Amino acid sequence: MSGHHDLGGTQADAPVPRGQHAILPWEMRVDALMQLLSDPKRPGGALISVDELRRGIESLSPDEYRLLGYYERWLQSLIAVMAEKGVIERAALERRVAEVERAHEQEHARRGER
Amino acid sequence: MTPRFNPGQRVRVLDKVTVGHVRTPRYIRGKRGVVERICGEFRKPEELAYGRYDGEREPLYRVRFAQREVWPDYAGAPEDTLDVEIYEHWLEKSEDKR
Repeated sequence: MSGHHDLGGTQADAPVPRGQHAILPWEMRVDALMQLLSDPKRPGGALISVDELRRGIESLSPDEYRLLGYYERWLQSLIAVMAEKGVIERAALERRVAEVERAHEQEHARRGER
Repeated sequence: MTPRFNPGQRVRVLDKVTVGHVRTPRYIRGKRGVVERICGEFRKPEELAYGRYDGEREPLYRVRFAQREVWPDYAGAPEDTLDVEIYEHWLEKSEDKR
């Protein structure tokens, strides 16, 4: 018995795509966030280890795990571990995300794109 | 920590049921291989995963497995092998000549 992420040797639902794809700017930012937070040289020491990132990813529900992309899983794990350690507050993050979404919608409305 | 195993020694991966983060994939548990090299000493992923950054370091081994040992229905060449890096606490001595 093992986690639902541990897929080695199991049958894939569909052929595994082998092509490369562009890495999007937000994905690079998630990667950079992980590099910064896991840097032992940062003031106060590392706030997360690679294994903590993995634990967060492996703790996603099977559905979330299946539906989220690679860096989306990283981001969800970073949020969970940082919230667990009291570095960020989930409610504060959600408020900020809502603000950004509102600002984005207003911007679109002003440009008449919606 | 003095390594318990040396290159060339036969080992078996423990077939443990686990909860939480581990670095030993399911498909290799219970399989027998040969220590290819000692990779150095590292802290346990099981502890690092829960924020314990100061645990004891233990040897990590690169273990070589015959593909036919890993995948019973493997259709490739019999000399094909697979290397997996495995922490010492996941290994035991194997006498079995497989």
